[in-house]
Amino acid sequence: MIQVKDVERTYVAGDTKVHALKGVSLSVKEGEFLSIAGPSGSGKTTLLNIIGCIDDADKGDVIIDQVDVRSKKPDELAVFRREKLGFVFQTFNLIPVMSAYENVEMVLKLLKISDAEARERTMAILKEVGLEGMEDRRPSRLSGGQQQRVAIARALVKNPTLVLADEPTANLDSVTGKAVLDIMKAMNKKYGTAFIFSTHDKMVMDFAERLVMLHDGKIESDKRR
Amino acid sequence: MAKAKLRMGYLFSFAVKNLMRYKKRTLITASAIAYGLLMFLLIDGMLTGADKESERNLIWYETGSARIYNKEYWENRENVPVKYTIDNPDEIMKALDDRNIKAAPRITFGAEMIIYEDPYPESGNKFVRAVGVDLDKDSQVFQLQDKLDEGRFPKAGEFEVVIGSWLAKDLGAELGYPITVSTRSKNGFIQTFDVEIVGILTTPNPIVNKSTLMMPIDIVDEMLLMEGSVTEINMAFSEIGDIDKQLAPIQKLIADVSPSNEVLSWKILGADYLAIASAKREGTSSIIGLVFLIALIGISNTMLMSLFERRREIGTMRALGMTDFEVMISFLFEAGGIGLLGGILGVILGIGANFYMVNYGIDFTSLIGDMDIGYRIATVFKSIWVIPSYFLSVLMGFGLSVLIAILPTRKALKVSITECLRAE
Amino acid sequence: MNTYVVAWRNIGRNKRRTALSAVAITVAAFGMVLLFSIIAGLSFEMQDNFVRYITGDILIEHEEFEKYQDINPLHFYVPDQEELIKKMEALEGVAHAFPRINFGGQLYSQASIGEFKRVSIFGFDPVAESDTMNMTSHLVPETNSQMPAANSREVIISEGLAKREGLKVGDKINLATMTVRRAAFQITMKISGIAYFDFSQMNEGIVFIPFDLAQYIVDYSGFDGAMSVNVVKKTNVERGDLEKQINDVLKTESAYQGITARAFENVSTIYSFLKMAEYIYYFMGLLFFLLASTVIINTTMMVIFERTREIGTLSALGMKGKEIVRLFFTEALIIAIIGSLVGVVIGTAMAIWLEPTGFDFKEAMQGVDFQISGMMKPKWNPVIAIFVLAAGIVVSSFAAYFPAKRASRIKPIEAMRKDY
Repeated sequence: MIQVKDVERTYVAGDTKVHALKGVSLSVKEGEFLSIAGPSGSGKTTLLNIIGCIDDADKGDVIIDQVDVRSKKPDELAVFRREKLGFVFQTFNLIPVMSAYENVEMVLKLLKISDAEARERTMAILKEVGLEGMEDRRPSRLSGGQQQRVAIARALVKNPTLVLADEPTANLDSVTGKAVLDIMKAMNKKYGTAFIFSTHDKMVMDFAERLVMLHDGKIESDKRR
Repeated sequence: MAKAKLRMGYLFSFAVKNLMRYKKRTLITASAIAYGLLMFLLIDGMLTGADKESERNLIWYETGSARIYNKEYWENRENVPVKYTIDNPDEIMKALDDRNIKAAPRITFGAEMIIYEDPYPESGNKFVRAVGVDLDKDSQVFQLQDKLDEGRFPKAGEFEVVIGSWLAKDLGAELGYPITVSTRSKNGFIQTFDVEIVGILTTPNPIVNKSTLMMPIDIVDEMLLMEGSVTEINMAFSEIGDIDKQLAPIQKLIADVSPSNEVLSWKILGADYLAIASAKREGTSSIIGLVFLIALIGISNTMLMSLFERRREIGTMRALGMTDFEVMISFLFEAGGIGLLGGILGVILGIGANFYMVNYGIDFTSLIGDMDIGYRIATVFKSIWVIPSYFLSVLMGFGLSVLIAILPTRKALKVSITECLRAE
Repeated sequence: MNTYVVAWRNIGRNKRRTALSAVAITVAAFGMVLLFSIIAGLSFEMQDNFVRYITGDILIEHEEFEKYQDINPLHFYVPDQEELIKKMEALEGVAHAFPRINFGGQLYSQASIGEFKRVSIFGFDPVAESDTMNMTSHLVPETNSQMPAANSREVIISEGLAKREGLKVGDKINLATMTVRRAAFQITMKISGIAYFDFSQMNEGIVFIPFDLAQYIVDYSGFDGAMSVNVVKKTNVERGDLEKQINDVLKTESAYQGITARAFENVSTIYSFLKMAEYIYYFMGLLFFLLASTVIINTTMMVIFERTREIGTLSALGMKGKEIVRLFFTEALIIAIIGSLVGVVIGTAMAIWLEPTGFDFKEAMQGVDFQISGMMKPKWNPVIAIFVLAAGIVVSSFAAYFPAKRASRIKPIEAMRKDY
């Protein structure tokens, strides 16, 4: 489903060039639960961003769902992300002026799904992530764990092909983090949605079914469990 | 495209939510706009009020709706000539009368007015533009009937005069006082004669109050050896309408009846005044422009701050699949919302302030006195309701805010998504 | 840690935010300095024109003259002006004094039969006024203009009149006017020169004639008098003091009964006119000031609101409310001082740079009865700079004080949760 081939990415920060990815190739199948791990600066977030179509590689091929995303224009990519990809961020990134319900519903509104269907699907997914009864709360009135659940619901409500989660547990305590991971795993099993994490959290690595270790912009190991 | 249209409503409600979130900021910025618009409405109402009243007072007391002159007259008007005359006034009057147009002939002439101590408090002389009028006809064209403070209008054939009340006050004149008029006849002889003040006139037009010296036209004709000629024929049109359209048939008529003469509308007769009025408008608009500029700096400040603060939010929305255009629209809606709020607030304040200005006005007497400020109004400035300006205000508040927000928003969208997401 | 050090660091830390509020303050301060300089320039120009051409620093005339000036009250004259001028010039504070006679009349000629060509006549002493009016410098060079020869019937006319009537140097004009006894009087004079003045009032239909000729025309010659004697003070003298001094002299002699001296500020019509113009200008300035203040307040308050979370953190770390207010206030104060200072400096530079040339405002001033040339020349003075600096600092630091105080009262937990 995802073919990443010989991807290179270089950042220019001031006078120094940072080679974040030095030729990475990776292929991911549908429904995989994959974790990209490595120390900070190893390029894992860059790889995730490139797969998530919010960053572009300098070299190499990125094919997602038979689509060559590197050849697409920004607006086409926006539509692509809207339809196929879900995101879960380290800092949750909920829209502060919207309630939990509205944050999730927003994704469906962007897809022009009818009000009735959007409502049904939003309520269902919120119930699944365990937020029943908290739909009307704004992010500022939710705990970190609850906020991340909203974010997961937001990522999954549109039945994406792939969810990208950048350090989803880094801002949560271990108990809450575990609960969040459990939900994601359950969703992965239930809907067959592929998940790709970036992490340096041991717990997340243990949770993954496939663990890709990055080091210094290159894949060090790729193990299935 | 249909897709985009459907999403507008959603983006709009999103913008409203954000405006509610930053209530204070929204309100502060909106009030800066409101203040600018209030100034605009206040000044616009006042100037338009002064303009409209001036125009009316110009037509009613000074120029009439239009005037017939000898073709040479207008160019030489500063010298108050009596040599460029209408030589067949009766014929023209009759032609106008046939068409039911109210008209009145006048002889305007320059004169040195001389007064002597006893009965006046002091002797002196003063240049005046005196006028000989046919009273019956004149009162058809000008609104002078009930404007006498005291006394009566001069009788035909008598050496009598009505003077403006401000002039009377300056001279210390009262009814029954004599005035010596020294002028030159049409053929250049010095002619000096005495007239008696029989009436004192006050109109809403300060120029008339300040300078009127009005006597029977037959006396003037005799003294200036005009031999039946007059310097002008004034006309009044009953309906108000496009003056140039009303003028066209009369111009044609005059071209036929007396080709040496021409018809000028009050717009030309009052050109000096209109030039001043438009100059004042220009000056005022540049000040209002400045006021607006600052209000707009306020908006761009607010938008910059807002965009800067919400970089991560913008990044998130873009990552979730909002196109740059949609993000831009939602921010423009926000700016527009602030502008709209400012516009509405400004209009409400403007209506409040102008309510006072329309009904009571401001009395500038102590400031202006009898100084010539160009306007043909008494020194109480009253505003009028200029309805289009209120709509324009709301539109400007909204439109300019949106326009001004485009640049910073575009700039913010140039930042890459990953950088936005990294922001604190 | 010292509040100032922390404040400085905060300012340096978020450069964009600092720049934003500083720029708002700078722009406002800049605009105010320029606007106030222009206002001061206008006031100065008007005043200078009046003093130079119309009244002098002290105007000596008959006390009834002003009241009746509309009706040409020639009979309220200053008698024996030569003697009076000598007396005045003997006074310590007086630079020089000169006589004036102004009146109206009409030009006539064979060609102008049936027309009434009004002119103002301006009787002046070219020698005595060489320092103030300096007629020689106003003569239009291309016209072969000369000053009128002594004891001749030569006159100078304004450029406006020359244009209007198509007159040139060497032409003769016939003037009809009134004498002090209201008798008609006619005289033929020769144009020796054409003069141009920036001051619109001096450039209309004016005939400048030598003082003794003017005296002859209005028939003052029998008793030697002037309509007014204008006194120019030495630079270090106060007008009010000199006015008093001159009035004391005038009182001692019975010959000068009814003659009074008034400082320029006390010439009521002109003064009230100047006052009105000033009101209008300062009203405009005030509008601008209010608006500039709202921008400053807007920006400063937004900056503080934005940092509510930071305030919460500080207060969670154990900083007292007062200390927080002081910290934020100090920050705002530093920015306000820098912003205002920069604005005032740029505004001052701009005002001084524009002082010799000015803006052209002729179009908008057309037909308006304001006695300025239509060129707006700013005139900067230190009071403006100090006022704007103080206003900028006070307004912006006040704008910061209240929201900072409010923010410091928010419970840490609330402040930290705000927005996210």
